[in-house]
Amino acid sequence: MREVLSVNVGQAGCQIGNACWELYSLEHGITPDGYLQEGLTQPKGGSDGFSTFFSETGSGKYVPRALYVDLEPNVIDEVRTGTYRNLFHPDQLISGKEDAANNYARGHYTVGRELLDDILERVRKMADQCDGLQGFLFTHSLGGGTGSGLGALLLEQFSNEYGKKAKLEFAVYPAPQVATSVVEPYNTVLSTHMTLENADCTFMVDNEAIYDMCRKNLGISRPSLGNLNNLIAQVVSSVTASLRFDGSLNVDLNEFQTNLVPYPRIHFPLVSYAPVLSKSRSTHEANSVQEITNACFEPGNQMVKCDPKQGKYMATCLLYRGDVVNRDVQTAVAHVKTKKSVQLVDWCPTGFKIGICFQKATPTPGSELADVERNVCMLSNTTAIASAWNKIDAKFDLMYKKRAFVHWYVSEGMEEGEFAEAREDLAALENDYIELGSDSLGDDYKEEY
Amino acid sequence: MADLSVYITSELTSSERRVSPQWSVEHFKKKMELITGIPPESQRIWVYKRRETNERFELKIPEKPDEYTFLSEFTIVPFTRIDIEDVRPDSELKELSENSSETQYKMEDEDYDKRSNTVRRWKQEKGLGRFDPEYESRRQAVIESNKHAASAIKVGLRCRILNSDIERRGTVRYTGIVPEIDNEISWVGVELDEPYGKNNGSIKGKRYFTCKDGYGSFVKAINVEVGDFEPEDPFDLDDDEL
Repeated sequence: MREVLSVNVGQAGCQIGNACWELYSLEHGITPDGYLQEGLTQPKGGSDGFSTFFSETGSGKYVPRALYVDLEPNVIDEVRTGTYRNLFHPDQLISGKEDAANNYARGHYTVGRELLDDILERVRKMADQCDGLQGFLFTHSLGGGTGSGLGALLLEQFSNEYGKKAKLEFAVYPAPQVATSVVEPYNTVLSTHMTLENADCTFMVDNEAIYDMCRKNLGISRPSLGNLNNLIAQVVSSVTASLRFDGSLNVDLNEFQTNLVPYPRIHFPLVSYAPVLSKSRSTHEANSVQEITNACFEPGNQMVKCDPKQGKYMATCLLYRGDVVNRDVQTAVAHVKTKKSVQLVDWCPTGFKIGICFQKATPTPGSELADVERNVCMLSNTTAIASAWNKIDAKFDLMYKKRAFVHWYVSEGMEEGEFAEAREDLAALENDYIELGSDSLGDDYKEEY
Repeated sequence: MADLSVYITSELTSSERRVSPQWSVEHFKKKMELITGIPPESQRIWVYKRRETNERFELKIPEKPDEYTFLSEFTIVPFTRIDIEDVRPDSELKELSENSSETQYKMEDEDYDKRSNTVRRWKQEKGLGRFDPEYESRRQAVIESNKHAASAIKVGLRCRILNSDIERRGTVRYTGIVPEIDNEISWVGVELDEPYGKNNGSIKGKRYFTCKDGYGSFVKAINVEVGDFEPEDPFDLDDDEL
């Protein structure tokens, strides 16, 4: 067996976790209290795949292989008292009493560290229940205090304790236009610096991009975080589908890194998802394999706002779900490769890796998302994503030049030098991306000015 | 009472947040400082009654010195907008909203070179890109093949461009080096029959030929085939595109 442990950290991480587990349960035919839906004799999708994400107790009850961690109690209390209260074992839900106050230093050094032993102990217990743990899937935000600080601390600790086990993360990344808090750039840069060495693959999600998708494609006039998280959960579900369902053209957790990450630091693939369609519009669209594949190359389907036309691709994974045949995929990919806007780094091997899971996506009840026959999630390692780092670095500099709010961190025992060190590392990351985009042989036949 | 989701806005921020009706106004203000950067004593709090209108009331602490005032004493419904105004006339926050790239820190090339764990180091160690021993000879071969192709391409000749799915035909207007792109490859400037180009014959401000906007393009010489290519009839129904 190849188990995957999900670790949801901080408010955003836990709420995305909620949306994901609601969806996973639905997809596998599990009721909110952990039993098989009526009429089923076994979970949907085959037992091998299913057991990577759920464990079975002796009594026919299924439990998510998941851990919830938050420094303040309210978000997790809602899990404890909500619809899914019986799905989780109480030991899986860890909350403290005092929040991280939007401060990386509190999440990483002071308040967060107090919970650390407790968390590691519970993870050990869950890991002991696995036959062959593949790795971990984190969800957290980079802008808040708990997600950025404690999230980075856990990734670091897991590296020490679980060595080479894969660590993938879904990270909510600050939107380019609107900041959710003034210190968001600090938290993001500090957290990214810490995790750069410890995460194997990070899928970033910017709330503004998701917000626009909810508004334009789903027709939700004022999307709430709930709407956003439901859409994010669909993306996470697509990425994990091939791990959870038997008979998929398989991709395992390590393969994301093998296929997408040419060099360990360059582990931030851009995620695109198609189609994002409302129920009312879905009947007017054919959604052929070709169409949904092409849609992944349109900025409106990206989870991070950046312009891939200005960058070069290093690697691409296309993860299809539903009624999809390999021949159509091959045709669609061949067509994509001829697009002028798709430029590849020509000095390293750049492949298109295909995954097909025949189980189609399931919209959650109450979601605006249409029930479609097929969808695709594209993970592409493109140098264009460097512009996201560039924007957050600029915001960091604007504040750090004036040392604005730095005392909030120093008063939690953090050394000011960590700011400069983190920022240097991110500057080097920007240079890394420039270095990746340089050295063209000049034989790209599509080049035109 | 359960938490409420509300929208917190300020000059620099906007976010959906959870607030608890059991919080005192003082506690709320402390929390808001961590989000908005505005100290409690400089906050003026506005609660918007409806989304559609600007009707709002100020959330004030009444004069009752020995008691806390709780958020539950105000009418705050889910997804209300609460705006935190900075009352300081010369607030330091104003300077944080300016958008300039001049202040941005960039790492010097030599500093980047000194670091151990970088993409450049990796390329050097693995002999990738320009560190590949064969890189230079391969690059020269590309330059040569373009030069060779360019020798048959003359200004005024009809041609077609071979680098895309669609058939694009036009007339050669320029051949040679285009320093605005690079200093080595032989480029061909083409005036296309239809507006499937990139420019009007000029590139980065330098004019190489003149045509209507969108009809001009520069492509590498190896992607240009000269010959008897008549302008295509757009209404020809045998066209592949239909």
